[in-house]
Amino acid sequence: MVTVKIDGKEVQVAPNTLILDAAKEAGVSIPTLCHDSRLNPFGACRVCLVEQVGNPKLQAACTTPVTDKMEIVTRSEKLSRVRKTAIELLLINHPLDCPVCDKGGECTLQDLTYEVGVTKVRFDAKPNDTPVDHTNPFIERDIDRCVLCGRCVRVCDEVVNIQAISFLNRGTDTIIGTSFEQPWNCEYCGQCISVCPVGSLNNRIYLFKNRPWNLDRVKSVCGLCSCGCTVDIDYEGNEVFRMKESPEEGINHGYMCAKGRFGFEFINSIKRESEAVVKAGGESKKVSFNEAVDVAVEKLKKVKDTAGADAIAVVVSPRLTNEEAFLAGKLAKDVLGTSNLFSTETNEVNPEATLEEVENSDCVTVLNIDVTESNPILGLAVRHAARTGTAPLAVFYPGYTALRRVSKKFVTGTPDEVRAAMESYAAAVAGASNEYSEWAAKLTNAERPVVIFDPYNKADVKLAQDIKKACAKVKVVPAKAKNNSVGIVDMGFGAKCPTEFAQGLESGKFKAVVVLGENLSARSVWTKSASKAAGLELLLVTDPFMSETAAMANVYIPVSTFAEKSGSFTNLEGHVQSIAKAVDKGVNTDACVVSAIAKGLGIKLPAEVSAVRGMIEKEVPLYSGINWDGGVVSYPYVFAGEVAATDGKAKGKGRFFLYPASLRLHSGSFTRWSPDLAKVYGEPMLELSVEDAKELGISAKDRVKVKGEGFEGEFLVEIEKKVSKGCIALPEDFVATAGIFCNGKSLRADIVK
Amino acid sequence: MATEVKETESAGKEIDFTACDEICEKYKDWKGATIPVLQQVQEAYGYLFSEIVERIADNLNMSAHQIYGVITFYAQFYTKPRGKYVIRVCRGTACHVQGSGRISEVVCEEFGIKNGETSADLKFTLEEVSCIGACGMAPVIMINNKTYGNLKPEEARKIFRDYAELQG
Repeated sequence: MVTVKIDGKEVQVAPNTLILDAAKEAGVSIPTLCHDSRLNPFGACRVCLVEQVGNPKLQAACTTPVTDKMEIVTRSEKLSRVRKTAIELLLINHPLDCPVCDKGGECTLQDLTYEVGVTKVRFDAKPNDTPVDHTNPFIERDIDRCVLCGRCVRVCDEVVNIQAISFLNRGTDTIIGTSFEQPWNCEYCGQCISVCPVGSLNNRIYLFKNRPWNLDRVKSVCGLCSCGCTVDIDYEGNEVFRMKESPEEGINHGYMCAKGRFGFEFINSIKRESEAVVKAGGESKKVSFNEAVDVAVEKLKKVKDTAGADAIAVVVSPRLTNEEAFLAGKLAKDVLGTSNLFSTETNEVNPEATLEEVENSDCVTVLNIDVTESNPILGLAVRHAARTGTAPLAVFYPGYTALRRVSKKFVTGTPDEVRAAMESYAAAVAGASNEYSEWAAKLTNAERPVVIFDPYNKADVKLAQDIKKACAKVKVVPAKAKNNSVGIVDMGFGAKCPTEFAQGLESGKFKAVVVLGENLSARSVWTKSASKAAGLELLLVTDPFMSETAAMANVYIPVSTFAEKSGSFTNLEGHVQSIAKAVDKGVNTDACVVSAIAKGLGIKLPAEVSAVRGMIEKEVPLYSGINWDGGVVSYPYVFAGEVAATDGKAKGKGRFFLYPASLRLHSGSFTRWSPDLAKVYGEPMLELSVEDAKELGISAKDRVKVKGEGFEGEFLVEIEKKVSKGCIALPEDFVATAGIFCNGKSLRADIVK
Repeated sequence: MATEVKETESAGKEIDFTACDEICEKYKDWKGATIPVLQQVQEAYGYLFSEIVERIADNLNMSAHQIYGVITFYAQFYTKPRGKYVIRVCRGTACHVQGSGRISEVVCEEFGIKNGETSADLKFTLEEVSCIGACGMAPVIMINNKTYGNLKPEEARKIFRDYAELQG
């Protein structure tokens, strides 16, 4: 430890601490502009200059490490003058269009100008008038407002690792831009917007819609994938205006992905339903919430009396909160007396490693999943381990993913080749000697190895289990899909195999089905049997939108989204986090629906979060005494039992290998209703390699037919450099594609022009 | 007249990447290899156009945008085609007072190119430089590696015409 005196206050800090951090320790604040504690020191803006006693040169607090007995002065007349000049110089090129700038009110430069008291402009240079760049669908770039702090370039490089923008030119000509002034094309994560201290990079979804001082804010958890990022929901009245990072907070450290940042618009969608619908005798009628519940109760009673409780099934969506899923389970088991609880999730695999463990791992292996697209924040954790740590990263995937740039080994090829490679790798971890022995040794010799895999692909689960068995210190991350995929399993919706529900529908076993928030038609396990649900005595569907399944329902009740309710989600690490209600769209929550049905059936179930949590703590041992905002569930097992060996080879015949593509912009359900996401990716697109497209004479935006054993469909073509030759990929969770992947995760197909 | 990158090099033509790939292969997995790779690729292809930069990026597992940042930082890299003969007109103080501005004008009159531009036949490129360190010979110009000093505008014109007549 070294002793430093800052503005007369003595503090003890670790050697090599930056002056800025030492000052924070001493309770002294130093103004900064280009500094971001998550990024490497840069020292571009000179706003944080401080005086060191005995040194005639001023030091940048954000780049200079302290030394023992150092004495720092952060406030002096000289410093005021220097800081003021630094700001004045920045303002030469910065247009003073603050009244129409989206950053107004939350702009660091504006705040600093006010703080240092620049009231007059001493220089007569005119700011440039470059046209604003709108080539990026989500990010507006106004190059004239840029102060070249480099935070966007650095975050894109050091954290996201996409390097989609860079400093161009030199000296006074320096700008932030892309190679050969190409359109700005990237992952659209918007990290650059979140770090921009001025209005140079703006969120186009929020642009000109509101001013920050009008907005109210709640801290909540994003409901769009299983990462469970802490976010701020900014709203005015009952409209959500933006979802943004909570600076440096949460498991996501204040980072977000495209879906989280730009995909919230479905909450405000005018296409949302507000009234319940009951269908009888071929006619549908808009009814009140209570009437709809009464009809549902009546039908449930009838089915229970005539066909027995076993003819009733309850299906929940992995988007429900823990509390709602628990209530749904209560309704099924205690009120209706059925054990038919279904969801797309199963309890075969439980979370193990946390995101922090992934970040600090010293060897990461990613098996057959594109985490940068499916779980972007997990993807950032992997990149962190591979880039800032020393972790050798090995990735197995049929095409190149964004991890290629940080991986030490990237195995790609056809899905069958990749599978064979993964099998050899798993065998090598278990001790076999083959071409992957060197890589297996890296894993077995590591102290904190992590393996990430797709829990929905049985063959991959088997491989992960084999690796875990051979090397017990390996911690696995099953990259679950939805915001509460883990939680609903904990609440009892994972004991039965999802296929059992499909069989029950096919065989006519189920007469009444309660579907809470799920869209059966868009889930590959259920899509083929979904139409059978249409003719049931009762098909009760709750959904914020009139989904394909909701349209078949004879009782439909509109419900709220995650921004309109309280409760909790359990993320892919088993981390329980509370969500907060931001807005009210005048519809009920799923909890209210369940509670009202139970009441109709003569049993009282509470809908309030605190009461339900009390019940969960009593009845679900995993959650007894859990901290509902930040607690981590400790699971008794990772793999439920010996995973059966599955033939993971591609099924069927055809020239191409077809595998499910992961999409960072969509998961095919709620986000379909977000217009700005839909503008970029509106319908499932067929990813085709450059070579194959050339050979077949297909160009981007063509429509081609994909045909395989038992499926056929027509899709828009997207030519992708990352796709391997002989492979095609389609997203899984769209109604148009769910019917394809019910045949398997790896298929063969032909393209018919 | 000045030429645009896209129109000359890559319009419809297949680009032979062999030389580029070989250079990249030599430096694969080296840290700090970007500049030597760019230098050698520029040597082989004349200048750095967007397709070749993409190719280098793929080969070196880097981002093309980052590479472009390096290219635009250094004066030694060119993103537009260069003429066979690069005319460097010194515009330093000594040359300026000796009328070097007039020599630049002569280049423009002869070939229709301004500072930084290349003639349509890819024969001449005009570059105005700050000082080439031969103030005693002001006004001075360089054509490729040859230096011509104490020039009168009309003498310069003759030199340019001689070069224009050279074959190949």
